[in-house]
Amino acid sequence: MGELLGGLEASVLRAVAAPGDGPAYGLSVRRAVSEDRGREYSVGAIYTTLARLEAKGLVTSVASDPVAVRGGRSRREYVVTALGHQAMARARTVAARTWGFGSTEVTP
Amino acid sequence: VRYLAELTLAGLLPSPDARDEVLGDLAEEEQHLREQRSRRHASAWYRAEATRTAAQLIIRGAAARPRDVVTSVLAGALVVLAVQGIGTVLTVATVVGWPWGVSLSPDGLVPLVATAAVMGAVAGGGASALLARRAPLVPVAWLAILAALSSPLLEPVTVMLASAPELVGWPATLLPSTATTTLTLAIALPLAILLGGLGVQLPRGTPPARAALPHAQWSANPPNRRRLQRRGGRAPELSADHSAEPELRRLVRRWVHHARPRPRDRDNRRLVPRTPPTIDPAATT
Repeated sequence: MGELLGGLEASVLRAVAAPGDGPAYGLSVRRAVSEDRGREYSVGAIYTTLARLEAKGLVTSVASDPVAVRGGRSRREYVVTALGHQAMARARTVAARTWGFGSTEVTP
Repeated sequence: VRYLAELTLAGLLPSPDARDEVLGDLAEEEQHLREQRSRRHASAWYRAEATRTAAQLIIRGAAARPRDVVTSVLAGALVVLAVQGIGTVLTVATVVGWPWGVSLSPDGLVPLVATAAVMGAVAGGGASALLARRAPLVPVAWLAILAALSSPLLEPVTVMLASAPELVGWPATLLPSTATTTLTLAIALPLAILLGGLGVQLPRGTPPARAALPHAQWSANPPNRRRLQRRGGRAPELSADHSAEPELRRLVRRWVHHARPRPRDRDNRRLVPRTPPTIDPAATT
């Protein structure tokens, strides 16, 4: 059994798994996580969490083409791996056992 | 201020990809705020966010690469102590007497002793940044924090100098009070260490020096691409319209192309039509 996800890690993974418009990247994940958890997270906090998830093999990333609005810098677009989906399912199961409701009630 | 913030963040991030990601996110959100709110609000947000991000990168950078950071901090601290030690030895030798009968005027030593701490900090910061190839400013920042915390330890030295001015030969009025010296060192040492770390990175052309330049632009330059490939790094694909090429370089290339003499026929008509030069992306990879 793999290690359990931290609170912020789980939120970030969920934001990557269910991006809104377009692919998930640092800023879109930051907006989703800040809205989800009710506090403003810094760019650095999201970047380090995404880097940690990528090191664990839960997400993978590719660099996009340079974007003008970013001053010609590219975006790093993230996708959840199979291992990441397993980790999310495990986190849902643990939460369901802890709080005593059916795992189907916990949406990803 | 903005360039300094970008330079600092770039020095705290471990790879060109990470720099593009973090600095790009900051630029994009700032642009969004500028359109939604105001220019002033966006600038204030950028400064606050860059500071928060830098603080997090300093803390988490040490956790991610503890051995690298500890080694670089220790080496930097040793350099700081060595340079400060030379200043102290010169002072003591002047007071006690030189073994070779050489006399050195105490007045000549004043600037040396006064600046030894700052010179040591610059040299230590530089050494620390040189040793930390990835994220060079993480150990430099830790060294600065340690210097700020430990500067009160230098208090006994200033007390000794203040209590024995007749021994050193300096007028007592010229010596600053202990509190003033401690405060000065607490501010000057971290600044000097950070400047040393930044200064070492600038002339080498290593990643922090191109903080303001997106990775795609920097790596579009063929020598930079070759350098990156030699190190095993990832060079982004060149786009078909060469949009990754810096605008200034593109202008210079076109100007050089047009300024070159062209073959002409007997009636002084150009034989080769002037066409803008093209780059084959495959040839440069």
